[in-house]
Amino acid sequence: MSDADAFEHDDAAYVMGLLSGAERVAFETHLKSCSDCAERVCNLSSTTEALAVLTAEALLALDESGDEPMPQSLLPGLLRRAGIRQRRQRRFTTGVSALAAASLVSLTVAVWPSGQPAAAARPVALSAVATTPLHATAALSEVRWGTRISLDCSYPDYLPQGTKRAFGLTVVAKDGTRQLLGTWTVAAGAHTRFTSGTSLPQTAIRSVQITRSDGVAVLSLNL
Amino acid sequence: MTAVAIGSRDAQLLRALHDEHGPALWSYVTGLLHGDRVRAEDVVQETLLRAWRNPHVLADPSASRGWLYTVARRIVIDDWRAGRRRPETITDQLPEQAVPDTAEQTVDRQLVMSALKTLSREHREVLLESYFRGRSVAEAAQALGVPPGTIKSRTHYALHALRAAITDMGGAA
Repeated sequence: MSDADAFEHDDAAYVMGLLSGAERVAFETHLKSCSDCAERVCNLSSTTEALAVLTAEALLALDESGDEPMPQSLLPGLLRRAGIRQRRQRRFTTGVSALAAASLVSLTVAVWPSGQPAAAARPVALSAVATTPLHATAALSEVRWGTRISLDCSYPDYLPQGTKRAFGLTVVAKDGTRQLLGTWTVAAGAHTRFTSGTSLPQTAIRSVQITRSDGVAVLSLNL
Repeated sequence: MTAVAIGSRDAQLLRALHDEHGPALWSYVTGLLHGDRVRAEDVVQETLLRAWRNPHVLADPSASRGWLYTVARRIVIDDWRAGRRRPETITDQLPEQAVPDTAEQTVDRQLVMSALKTLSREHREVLLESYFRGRSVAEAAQALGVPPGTIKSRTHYALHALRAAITDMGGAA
């Protein structure tokens, strides 16, 4: 334990290559027996990769430039736009329900022209809720036992060779409960099809999410 | 145009959003747009409006900031892609290929810049000496006039703080 304490602060210096030869060897020996330090080193490596997009000049400029204050007009403009949007939304909602009532039959025909059941759902793209290179579409279909979810996701091939990430498919019910429907791994350039399901009827689902291994959602589809 | 009144609860929520997230978003978006204040004002307003329209994203404070940054970023990138405004590029490639990549790079850089802004001056200084100027622990210690142990602990806290800030903004680090 005291061994871990002695090395606790060395992770960043190691990752950035600041340690002397002897220090580096000692730290690497320590890493073999300390999973905490190994994990921190792994995390910090990607942080230094993020730094690689900048230069010393950019960092220096940051110190010199003070933050410009927000313009005074921002809040009044925001409130005005909110008012306009709310009014437009009200009009739109009234218009849509009138239209729906007037053409319920033709609308049904228009949506399923071939007479197929609602189950033949079209895939819909999930939108990013965190920065991620992952792309996915989901097709939800109502089945006797609940809802089937077919997922189609891809990881771009410009990512470094060997990049692999584990993801989970989570549904959030309208009552706020969450269900993890399965996990899978995607590699750079790969295309993964994944089908799973839930006992929840489609009407009880609030959103379908793709989550990272730490549970944070990266893509989401609100129903 | 006649003023359109919104309910006092909505106004209160928008004002709170503006006060809490406005300054950080403003700083981030002006950076992305190379100081175009008019466009930045529009993007920040649009971002806050979307948050007001999707109150469920505000339920979890630890995730809401990431959501806001992501939305702001999307608005700016979609605009670039639509050809309305583009980041400065010099390229001989077809625009359909070059623009998205450059846009993503500009966005990544700005996200890291905004994250660095949240660090203390001391932390930025130690990153400058070590990472950007490539000094060893001993050299950085001499340059900054502190013991070598302090360089190690400062780089440790600086890099972990940077990682937390980038994640907080919805980035990956």
